[in-house]
Amino acid sequence: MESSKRCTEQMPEALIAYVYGEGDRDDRERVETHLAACHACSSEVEALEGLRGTLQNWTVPDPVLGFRVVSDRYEARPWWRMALEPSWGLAAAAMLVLVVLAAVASIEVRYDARGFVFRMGWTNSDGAIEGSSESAEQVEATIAPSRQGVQEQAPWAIDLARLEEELRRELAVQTADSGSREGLRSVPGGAGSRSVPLGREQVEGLITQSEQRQQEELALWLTQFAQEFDVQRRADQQRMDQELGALEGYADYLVRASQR
Amino acid sequence: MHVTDEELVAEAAAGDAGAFNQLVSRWERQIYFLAYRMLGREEDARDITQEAFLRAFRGLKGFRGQSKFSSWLYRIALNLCRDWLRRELRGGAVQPSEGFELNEQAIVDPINESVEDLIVRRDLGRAVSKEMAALSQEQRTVIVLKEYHDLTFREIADLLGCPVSTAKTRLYQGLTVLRGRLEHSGVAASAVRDRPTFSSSSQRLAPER
Repeated sequence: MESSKRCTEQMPEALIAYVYGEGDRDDRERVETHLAACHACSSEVEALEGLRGTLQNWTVPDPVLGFRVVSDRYEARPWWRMALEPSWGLAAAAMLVLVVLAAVASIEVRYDARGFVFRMGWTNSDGAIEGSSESAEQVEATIAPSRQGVQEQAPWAIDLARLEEELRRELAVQTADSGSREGLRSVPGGAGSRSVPLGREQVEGLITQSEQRQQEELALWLTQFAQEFDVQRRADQQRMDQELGALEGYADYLVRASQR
Repeated sequence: MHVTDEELVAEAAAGDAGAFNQLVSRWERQIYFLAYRMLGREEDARDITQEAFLRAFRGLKGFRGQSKFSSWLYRIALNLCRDWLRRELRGGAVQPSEGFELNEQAIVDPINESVEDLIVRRDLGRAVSKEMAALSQEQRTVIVLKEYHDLTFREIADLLGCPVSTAKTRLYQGLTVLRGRLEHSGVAASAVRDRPTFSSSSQRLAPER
């Protein structure tokens, strides 16, 4: 038995070639002579042939293929051509518009104890005033820092400061005429040019005016931007259509032409 | 008059898409069968087949006739299968093939046989598919190429980049493992040994001409 096993192990290449019908006539005769004298190798060949019969039972469902080349030239598209395709281009344009709008409008959405706040504009949320429950002291304390840095502020802050100065002058005249009145108080820590105090209603009025002006400017700007964007979009779309139309003449691809 | 693959390759390389389509018609089924038995899934085999011909078409100008067109095509398909297995399975075992129903089995090999024989044949086919999937990729590849595509050992060795003796040894080892697995999984040794060899090997290498 041991010698038979060694015999088989030394003959696999010859046996497998014999089972699959390869090798020249001398090789086959040599193997057949050996098989006649070696029961182990003879059994091995018989088993391999039986296994081959079993393997034939593994059939594959007949496929419906019919692949066809439908053009005689092929040019691989560069990546930047893909970027020009409508889906990618429109998606990129939409994202750009959203980012620009969000940046320009400074959209702020907040929901807290004072209620739901949706704000568009350049107003800094730290300096923003919403709700009517805040006290005059809080309002004035909030406004005060913005006056100190008015030169570094945005244009709206300069306008606001100018308007405030005008109101101060008017109030100073009124104060001189009527003496002391109720409802006027000193700005905490105010000094120098802030010797004339502001009332709560006046401050709120100032802020309301400023916000209205901002909203009007923003609406005007958005309208202009939308018009310009629409014109540009149409021009780009027309250009892409022309380029893609030209590309179709060069495209090559394999398709499943028909279901056989 | 029969036009050889090499003549069609030359015409296709010169820009004749029709010539390449003839090559596709000749070899698409063989490439599909190869991919199906390597991957076990019809849809993936179809994708591999399409991709293989697409790559062949793109690479026609670089094909200098160093080997037969069919060998070149087999190599492309095998590389795609290897990449697919590496990507999808990360070295794991391939799934047994999806198989098909009894009526399809009868259509594939339309031998006039009884329903009992059809059932036995289907069950044996499933058992083979399952145990083939459990083999190593190297052993499965060489068994598929030899048993189902009838490539010579020299062709297999060239495809796999190994000596002829290695191809033979790998086939012998794969068959030995497969036989042991089949017997262990309940396919009786007598059934394995005594099962008649089906002569209508319509799925062997010979392409449609």
